[in-house]
This record gives sequence, C-alpha cells and structure tokens, in this order.
Amino acid sequence: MTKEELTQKIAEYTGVAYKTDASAITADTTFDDLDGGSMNMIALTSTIENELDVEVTIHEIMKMKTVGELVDRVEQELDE
Amino acid sequence: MEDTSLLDALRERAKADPQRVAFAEADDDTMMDAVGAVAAEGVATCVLVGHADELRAKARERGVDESLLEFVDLDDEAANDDLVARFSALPTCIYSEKAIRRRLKKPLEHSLIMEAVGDVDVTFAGISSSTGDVILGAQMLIGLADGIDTPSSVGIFEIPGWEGSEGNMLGFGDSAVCQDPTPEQLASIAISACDTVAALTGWEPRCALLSFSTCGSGDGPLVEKVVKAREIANERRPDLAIDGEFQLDSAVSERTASRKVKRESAVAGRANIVIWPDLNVGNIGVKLVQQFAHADAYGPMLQGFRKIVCDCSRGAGVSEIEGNVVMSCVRAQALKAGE
Repeated sequence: MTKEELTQKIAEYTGVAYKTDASAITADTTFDDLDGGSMNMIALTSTIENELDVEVTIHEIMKMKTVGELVDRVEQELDE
Repeated sequence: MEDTSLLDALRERAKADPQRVAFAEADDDTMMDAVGAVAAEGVATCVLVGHADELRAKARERGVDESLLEFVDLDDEAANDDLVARFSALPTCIYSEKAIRRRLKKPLEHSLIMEAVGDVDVTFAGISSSTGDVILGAQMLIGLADGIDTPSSVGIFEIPGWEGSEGNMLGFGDSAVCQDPTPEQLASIAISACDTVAALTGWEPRCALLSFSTCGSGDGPLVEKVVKAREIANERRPDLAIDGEFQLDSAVSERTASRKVKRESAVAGRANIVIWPDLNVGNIGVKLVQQFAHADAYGPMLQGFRKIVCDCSRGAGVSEIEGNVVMSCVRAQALKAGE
C-alpha cells in the first residue's frame, strides 16, 4: 500500500469515527479540528486495528497533533 | 472512608445477594488481602483474573483461603474461545476476533470482556492501573449507558453538623473525571448521579445543577451551559427531578430558595445531589467541604457505563477497597433490578 493509499484509508476511517466528511480530511487535519472525544478515538483505533491489524493506543493518539502523524505511526508498523 | 451506618447497611445488602466481582489486580499484596476479607465476609464472589498459578501462590502467601475464590486463567484457550464467540456476538462489540484475543491477554481488559458478556457483575481495579486506563477500558469494552455521553464520578458527603434534606448527607458529582463538560455531558453527569445515589441510598433523587446564578440572576455562557444541561436532562429523563441553574445555597437551603426561586421546583432548597458545573469547581468544592466542614466522603465512584466498573485509588488500603467493593455490588444489584 502506498503512503497516499494509506492516508486515504485513514482519512476514511477518521471520517466515520468522527462523523464528518472524510473528503475534507488530509494529513494536515488536526485532531483539535475534528473536535471529538474519547469515544471517537476509540472508534478510530478499533477500526485501524480491525482493518489493518495495527494496534494504536488512545494514549498515543492523544499525543498526536495531526492525522498525518497517525498515518506515519501506522505505516511504521505495517513496514515492520 | 469511615465505617459508618450507611456502609454497614450497604454491606448487609451486598451479603444478601452476593455479586460476582472480577479482580484484575489480585497479584498485588493489598488487593489480595482485600479479596481475602471480601470473600471471608461473604460480601461478593471473588473472581481472580490473571495467571492462575501465580494468583493461587499469592493467595497462599497472603493466607487467603483458595476454596473461597474462583480463578480465571488468561491462557485458558477453551475458555478464551468461548469468550471471543460470546463477546463478538454482542451488538456493542467494536472489535475483530484478533483484536479481542489481544485484549484477553491483559487482566483488566479480560475482566471487562467477562463483565460485558455477563460472567461477572463488577470489574474492580485501580491499585496498579491508572484511572485513565480503567475508564478507557470500560468505554471500549463495556460502553456507555444509553442516554449517557460521558463517564463521570459521584460521591456522597457526610458533613458533621449540617442538616440538609437527607440529614448530614449530600450527593455530589463530578469531582474527578470530566474536566469541562458540554451541556450534554453535564446532563449525563446529573442523570448518572441520580441513578447511582438512588441505588446506594434509596433516596428519591432531587438533583441541582449548580452555577453562580439562580434562575437567571446572572447571565452569560457559563449560565447558558447549565440551563441547556437542565433542558437536556429533563428531556432525556423526565422521570428524574433535575433542576437549575441554582447557586449552592438556593439548592440546599429552603430559606434561601424561598427568596430566590420564584417558580415551582421539586429540587430548590431540598436538593440531595449537587452537580458542579466543571471539574475546577468540583475539585475545589470537595476540598472546601472536607477542609472547613471536616466532611467524610464516600467515593468518588465511576459511573456512566452500561455496567459497574470500580476504580479504587492507588493508595487504597484493605478497608477502603472492601468498602468500594460493597458499594459496587449494591450498585450492580440495583442495575439488575432495573433491567
């Protein structure tokens, strides 16, 4: 999977988890912009784990500023 | 927490219908000592979740009668297969089979999955897990109760020399979890607090949403948030007496309420539960009451989940843990009775 494809997938998952338009989500979108709570993060991390078999903890996402950082984290584990 | 008549009464209620409590941290000496006390008293059926051989050894080391305990081994593949099948069949389950199996390797999450499928009634942790981990685990695996937008906490003050509508006792929330609640979250805290306090005390809840304003005496966004929360709470749970916005004295003093609240209210002046508008007020409010009025407090107890999850403080001793187990079991009884 290319970086662009992965970014698109994560954007789709993020859109569903945060109940917002996925087409407006880019690597630069911040989690502050998405304005969600822990239940949204749980929905996002569970989808990533179910679909890509990568476990990202809520604690990790809470420290991330942008969706791009999440993509990097998932890509790193997929490459291992 | 002091051993008072409320706790004595709750203990008798817990013993009358012992609930099944999963202990995810019985590898800890203090927790195992507390498990021993709970089991010997007959307050609950203690289900110890972890590496069974190590837990049995710990029980023997601490002088706890193993025959009073149940052990759930994280590596019991047959039991895990069964749990995966039942948990994944729940409409609330958001995880794939592989993700569930990953979680079954951890005692806290294993316990929560057992609770979700009904194998236990309470999950108990907190002595080695952080409050954040307990709350997140419960949100992921148990989920929030219907009509509730946030986990939160509630406690019950016992205030020497104060005479309110329930003697010297007063429920309060949230002083521990939700920092800056939205109106929806504030409504959720009030609804959860009513249900929790009613389960423990048998009181008919009269819940006041606190503010610096009483019925429009002040204005601005801080007041609007509380008014909106009241509207949401009344819409979601019209069976509950939740009212505001009230200043503290308007909420708990009939004399003040008679002067400041010029409309009908089942709560004003007679509140038995007060809801702080945010965590700044909640934390400071509790400490004011404890420091200046020398109050004791039961709790804080986590609330807002579909089932009962208890997070004790990291420094809790045996008697505090036992008291928390007692309160959790009575709440679990009430939850079942209401289903």
